[in-house]
Amino acid sequence: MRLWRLLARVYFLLVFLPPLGALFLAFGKTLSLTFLKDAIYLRALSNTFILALGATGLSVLLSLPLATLLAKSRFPLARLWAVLLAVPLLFLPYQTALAWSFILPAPVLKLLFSPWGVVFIFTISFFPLVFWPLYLSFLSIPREAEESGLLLAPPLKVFTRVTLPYAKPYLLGGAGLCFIFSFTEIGAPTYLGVPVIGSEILTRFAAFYDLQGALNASLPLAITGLLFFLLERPFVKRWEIAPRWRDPRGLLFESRPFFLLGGLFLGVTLLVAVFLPLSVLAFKAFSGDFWSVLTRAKSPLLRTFLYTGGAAILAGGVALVSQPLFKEREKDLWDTLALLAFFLPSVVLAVGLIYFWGRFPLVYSSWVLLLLGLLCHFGFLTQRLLREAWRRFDKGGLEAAYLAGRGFNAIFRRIILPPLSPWFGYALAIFFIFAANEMTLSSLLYPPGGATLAVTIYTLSVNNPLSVSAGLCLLNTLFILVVVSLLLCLLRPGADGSRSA
Amino acid sequence: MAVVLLKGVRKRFSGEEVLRGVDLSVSPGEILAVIGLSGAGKSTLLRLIAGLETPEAGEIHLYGKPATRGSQILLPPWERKIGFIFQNLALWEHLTVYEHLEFVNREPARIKELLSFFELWELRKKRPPELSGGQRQRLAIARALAQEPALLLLDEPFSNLDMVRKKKFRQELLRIRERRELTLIYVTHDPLDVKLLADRVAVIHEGVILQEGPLETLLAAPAHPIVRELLSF
Ligand SMILES: Nc1ncnc2c1ncn2[C@@H]1O[C@H](COP(=O)(O)OP(=O)(O)OP(=O)(O)O)[C@@H](O)[C@H]1O
Ligand SMILES: [Mg+2]
Repeated sequence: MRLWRLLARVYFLLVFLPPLGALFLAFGKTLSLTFLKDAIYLRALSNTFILALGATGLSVLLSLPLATLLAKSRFPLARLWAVLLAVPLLFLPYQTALAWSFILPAPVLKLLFSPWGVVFIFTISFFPLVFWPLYLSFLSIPREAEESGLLLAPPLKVFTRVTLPYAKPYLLGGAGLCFIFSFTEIGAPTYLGVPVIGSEILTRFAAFYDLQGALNASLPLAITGLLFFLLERPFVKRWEIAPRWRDPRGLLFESRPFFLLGGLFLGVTLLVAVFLPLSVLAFKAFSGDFWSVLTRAKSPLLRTFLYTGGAAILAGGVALVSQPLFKEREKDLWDTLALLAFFLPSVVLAVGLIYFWGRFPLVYSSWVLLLLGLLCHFGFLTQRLLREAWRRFDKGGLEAAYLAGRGFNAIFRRIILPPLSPWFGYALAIFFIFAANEMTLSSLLYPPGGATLAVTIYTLSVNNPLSVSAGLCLLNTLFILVVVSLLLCLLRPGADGSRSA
Repeated sequence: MAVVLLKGVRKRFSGEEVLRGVDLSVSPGEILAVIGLSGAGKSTLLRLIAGLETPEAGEIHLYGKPATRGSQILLPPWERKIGFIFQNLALWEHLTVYEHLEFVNREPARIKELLSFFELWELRKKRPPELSGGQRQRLAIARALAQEPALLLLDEPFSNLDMVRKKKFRQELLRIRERRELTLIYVTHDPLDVKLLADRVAVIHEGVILQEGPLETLLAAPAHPIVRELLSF
């Protein structure tokens, strides 16, 4: 037990401290603000903020009616639609942009290749980050809380006065996620020709190898990330990442016009965000030489699988083992570090990682750097999920097992692992989805000659036939889908009472 | 005229019939206790009266007017003038004590009166998580009374109280009823509650009201062994 605890501590220190510490020191030491006079830079910066704000606002507007329809009415097949609404998370935003550039006719195409287009693409790519927390929170409101409102006031008032306040932390949390993701996404804006700060920094670094310049340029991003980090506590503190699934009664909207309008809205959303992009992409991919795409994608695919899969298992494993090992206060500490690394835009984090690990050639020029980057950036997801699982785990059973005189290993395997393993499955799946679709961090950190699929897509997007890009994107989505499905089947999260109850 | 009148009310959940033809009548100002085994359908009965659940068949009349007919809700819950105290209280965690009553009743004078009556005025800025169990319970009652209900439904309101609180709460309920014309239906597991509070008791078993009447009558001539079982100390 002591050995495990030591190992876990070493892991946390090694993963989180170097980049965060390096950033902290570097910003303090060698800050130069000359970039603020650079007009190109400033335009990219303002673009970034406007795009992210626009996408976040629209995602909220999109998610509210959808979550209300699927959680607060008896709409048929609601769970299926909700799952389908998560599918855009399996797409690279670049790929959605690509698909829509095939779909739109020439006169409208100009609009896509503009900030408006980027906001549109970001919205249909990232709205599940708002929709899902909101949907889950709507489902998990104690039904009596709404019903005691219904004894007094009609549904609409109950919705605004009771339901929405309950969902507020989830809505804010989801909106924050959506903002951060749009804020650091570079694939789609690059393709659509809209300069954003992430690609600016990436170019600066890749073209001129100017680490200090990149570091300076990422200061506004770092400050924004820090701001989100600081705001999370007061605003989202009640946020459970996976709320309890309850019987979705309580407040219900059952009028026919609501069903019809809502159904129409749902259909259009699914068409625009899922079915159209997917089918157009498939069509495009198969009209090109899909076989050559396959051969070209083989080794990047394998690398993505190894790096992201390895990172997911490592992050999930450590998060799982550390639950019984650490006191709540120590978990708070590690969670705080992880949260900070999660909210720091990936460009900034990558710069910090390079800054520190650049001194260690063995790490720097190998896949270890990318692994460390993924662990650092997404470790928060697994830690938060498994901590929530631990919180709901009945500790009485654990105490009984200790009293029965069994060792830690046996207790972990027999008593702790079974109830937590569905959560472990979720954690791995979510980590894998985010990490495999990650472009920015991997573009900066991948080892020489070791590009992952997302990186390959990003670098090939410039001067290759679009059918190849389409094929690669399609492959990426299918690949993630297969891995996640396998994972969820193997670890059978459905066996968890909190979901099926 | 009865405040609540149920005729042949049937309710099923996923194929299983929980209530199979319930007839019940409650007069104004009466206190009716409902007692029955766990899972007998007591909560379901209260929820049907409040309009939170739709029956498969039967009629529910409130204050002489039809409220539910068949599986059709004629009077929505928010027009039924019913106060409901849920088993888990169902407070709104994001609202302060004062805001709880404000949601229900816009009159500041009335809010103040109620909060003072329930010794919550000093706590009016606190939210439910900061209140003790007894305070939360009092808030739930104050909220239910703030809408000036003609009918108060209570689902095991005593179950989480210690003996002292329980006694006080019973007295409070009696006091409230004296002050204004209020009809009460409450679900309980405790024969003592029935004895000390109720004018009449209805025993619910296997989906029907097995027997109803004053406690003494039921104890003297139980229609079924389960009646004595449930009502004896
Ligand atoms: N929403 C629901 N879906 C399915 N079954 C339900 C639902 N609500 C209640 N039931 C079932 O109906 C039956 C009666 O439930 P009810 O809650 O009314 O019982 P009760 O008499 O209040 O029991 P208790 O004393 O335990 O509170 C139970 O068998 C319960 O499982
Ligand atoms: Mg009950």
